[in-house]
Amino acid sequence: MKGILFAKMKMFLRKPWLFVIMTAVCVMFAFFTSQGGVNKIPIPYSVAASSDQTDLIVEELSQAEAFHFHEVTQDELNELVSEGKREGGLIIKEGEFNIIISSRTGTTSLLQQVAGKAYGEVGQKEALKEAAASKGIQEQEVESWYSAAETSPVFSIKQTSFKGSDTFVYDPKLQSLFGFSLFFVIYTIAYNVASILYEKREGVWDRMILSPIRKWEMYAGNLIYSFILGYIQLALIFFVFRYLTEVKFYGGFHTVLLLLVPYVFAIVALSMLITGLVKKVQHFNAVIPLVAVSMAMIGGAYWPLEIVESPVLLALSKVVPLTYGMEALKGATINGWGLEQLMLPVSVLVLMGVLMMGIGINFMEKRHI
Amino acid sequence: MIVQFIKKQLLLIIRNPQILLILIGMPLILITILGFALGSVMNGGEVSVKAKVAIIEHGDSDQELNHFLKKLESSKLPQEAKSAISQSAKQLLPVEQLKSEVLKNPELKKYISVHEIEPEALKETKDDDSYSVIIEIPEGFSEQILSSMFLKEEERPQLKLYRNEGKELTSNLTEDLLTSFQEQYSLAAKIGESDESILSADSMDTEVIGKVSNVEDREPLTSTAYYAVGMSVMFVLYIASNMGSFAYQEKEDHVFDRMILANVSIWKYFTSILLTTIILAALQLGILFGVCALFYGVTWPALGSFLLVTIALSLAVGSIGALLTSLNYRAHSETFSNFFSTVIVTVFAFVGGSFGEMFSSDFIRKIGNLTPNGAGMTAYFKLFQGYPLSSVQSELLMLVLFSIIILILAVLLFPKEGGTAK
Repeated sequence: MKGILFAKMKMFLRKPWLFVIMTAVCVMFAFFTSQGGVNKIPIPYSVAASSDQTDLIVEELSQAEAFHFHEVTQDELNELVSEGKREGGLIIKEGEFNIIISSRTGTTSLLQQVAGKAYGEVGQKEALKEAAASKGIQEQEVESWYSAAETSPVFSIKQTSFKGSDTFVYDPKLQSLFGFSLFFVIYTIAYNVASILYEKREGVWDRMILSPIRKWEMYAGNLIYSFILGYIQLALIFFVFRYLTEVKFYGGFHTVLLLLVPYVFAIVALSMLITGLVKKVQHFNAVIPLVAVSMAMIGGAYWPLEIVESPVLLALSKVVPLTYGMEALKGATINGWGLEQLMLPVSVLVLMGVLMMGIGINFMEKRHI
Repeated sequence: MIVQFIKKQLLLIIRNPQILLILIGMPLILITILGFALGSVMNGGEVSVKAKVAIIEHGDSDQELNHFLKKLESSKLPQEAKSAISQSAKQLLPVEQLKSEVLKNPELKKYISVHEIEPEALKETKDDDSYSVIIEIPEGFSEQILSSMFLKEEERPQLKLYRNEGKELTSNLTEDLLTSFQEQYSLAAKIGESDESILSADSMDTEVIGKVSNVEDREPLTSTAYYAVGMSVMFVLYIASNMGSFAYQEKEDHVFDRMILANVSIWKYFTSILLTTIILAALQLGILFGVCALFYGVTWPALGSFLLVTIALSLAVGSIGALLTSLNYRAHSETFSNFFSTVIVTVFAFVGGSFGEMFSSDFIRKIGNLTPNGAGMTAYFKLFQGYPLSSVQSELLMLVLFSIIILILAVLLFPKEGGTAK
C-alpha cells in the first residue's frame, strides 16, 4: 500500500497544475460570490425629468433599508428588467413614479410602498413649508423642526438583536466559502478515484493483481490518496480564507477542519460508487459534472437551503451528502452547535459513506473489464 | 463522406445511452425542481417579505393618560391651556398611534402581522424564530412622552426594538417603519409647539401617483420559464465537453490514425465533429424546450426567432466542442474536456446568470453577456417576452462572433498530421 501511495504522490508532483488551478478557482469563486450584498434587493432607477423634488426623493430612497437603488438610463433600466436581471425598476418623475417589472412579485408591492413613502415624505415637507409660509413662518424654521425632530426625537429606539432557537442566520461569506469548496472538492476527489478506471484500462490494475499486493491494499491505496488530496485542498482553501481574508469562523475553525473528515470520506465513497456503476472513463467524465452540479443545487451549496420552501426539494436534499456537509460546517460556525447536535450530520455522512463504499466496491469486483 | 462521419458520431452517442439520458434527464429534473421550489425565492415571493411583529406593552396607556391628566391638573398652567392640552393628549397617545397608523395600517397588512404579547412571554417570543422583530414598550412610556411634550419635562422614554438576526430583510422593513414613525411623531410634536393650526390633516396627506407597469407591457416570465432557459443554456455546454472526450477516445483507439492512413482529409473529420456537436446541441435544446412546452406550458411567442437563437447557440457550442477536441488532441489527454466541464461551465453558468443574478456588479453582468450561455439566455428571455427578432440582434451577433473566434482557434490548434498518438 505504501508503494501505491508513493507512486501516486510522484504522479501528483509531476502534474500538480490541475489541482492548483482548481483550488485557485474555488478560492476566487468563494471570494467573489460572497461580495454581493444579498440582504438588499438591487433596484435600478432612472429620473425622467430632474428637479429639486426628484433630487430629494432620490436622497430619501437611498436611505431605504430593504433596497439598494442605483441609477441607470431608462433604456438600461428596461433592458435590465426585461432580461430578468432585476426584479423591478423605478422611473422617477415629479409628483409621480412608475414601477417597471417583468413579473409581478412580492417585491413589487414592497417597492411601491417604499417609493410611495419617499414621495409622501418629500411632498409633505413641501406642503408643510407652504402652509407655514401662509402663516408667515420662515422656511428655515420649518427646516429646523425637521432637524430637531431628527436630532432629539420625543422618544428613542434602542436596538438589540435576538436569535430564535433555530433561526437561520445568513452569513454570505461563509455560505459561499463552504458551498463552493465542498462543491469543487467533489471534482478533485472524483477524478482521483476514477484513476482506478484508467489503471484498469491500461492494464496497471491487472499487473497489481498479479503482484503480491493484496486487493484491499489496492483499493485502500487509491482511496486514501484521493481522501488525502481532497482533504488537503479543502484545508488549503480554508486556511487561505482564515488567514488572508476577514472571514470569521466564529471560533470554530478547528472543529471545521475536523468536520471535513466525514464529508471527504463520504465523497470518496460516492466517487467509488459512481466508478463502480459506469462502464468507461468517458461515462465517468460525463456523469461527474452533472452529478456534482445537481448535488450542489439540491444540497444548498449555491444558495442556502434555508430559503427553500418546497418539500420536494427538501426531501431530495436529504439523500445528498453535500447537505449534511453544509449542515455540519454551518452548525459548527454560524449556529454554534455543540458536539451533540453535530453528531447527527456526521453520523449520516459516515453511514452514507460506508454504504456507498460497500456497494461501489461490490459492483467493481463483480464486473470484469 | 462527411455524412457518414456524422452518422458514425451520432451512432457513438446513441450507443452510449447513459450519457444521453443524463444530458437530457438531469436538466429536466432540475428545471422541474428549481422551477417549483425556488420560484418564490427567485421572485422574492410573498413569504420572504412578511414581517411578524410582536408588541409587548408593559404599561397601560389609558392608565398612563390618567396619570398624565392628574399631573396636568396639578401643574401651574392656566385653565384654558390645560383643557386644550388634555384634548390633544388624548389624540396623540403614542402607543395607540403607533398601532393604528403604522403597524395596523391596512395598506401594510400584506407585509406585517402584529401580535400583542404579554410581558411575561418575552423570553418565549425571543426563542420563537418566526418573529422578525419584537417591540417592547416600557412602563410609563406614554406618560413620559406626553409630559415631555406638553409639560417640558426632560426625561425622554426609550423604546426597545429586538431584531431577529436571521430575518434581516423583514426586520429592516419594520425598523424603517418605526424610525419614520419616530420622525413623524417628533415632527408633529415640534410643530405643535409653535403653531397648532398648520398641522391640519390636509397638509399632511399628499397625493402621489404611482403605477406599476410591465416592461413595455410584455408578458411576465414565470419561474419555470426562467429555469427552463437557465438550465438548458448551461447543460448544452456539456455536449461540447462530451464530444471533445469522444473525439479524443478515437485518437486513443487509433481510429484517427487509421483515417489518416485511409487518406481521409483530417478536415473532413474535424468538420464532422463540429457538425455533430451542433446537431446534438440543437437536439438537446429542442428536446428540453419541447418537454417544457408540453408539460409546463413554457411556450414561445415567435417560433422562427426561437429557432434562430437556438441555432446560433448550437453553433457556439459546436465550436467549443471543436476547440476542446483540438486541445485534447494536442495535450494527449482529456484534461481540457474535464477542465471545461468542471470549472469553466460552472464559471460560465454563474457569470451568465443561469442560477439567477448572483452578482450585483454591472461589470460581471457585461462579462456574463459575453459567454455563450449568458448571451443565449438574454436572447431567449427577450423572445419570451415577445420582443421582435431585431431586439436580439446584438446577442445573435455575439454568439456568431464567439463561434467564429473559437472555431479559428480550433482550426489553428488541430494537429495537422497523425501518428503522434502515444
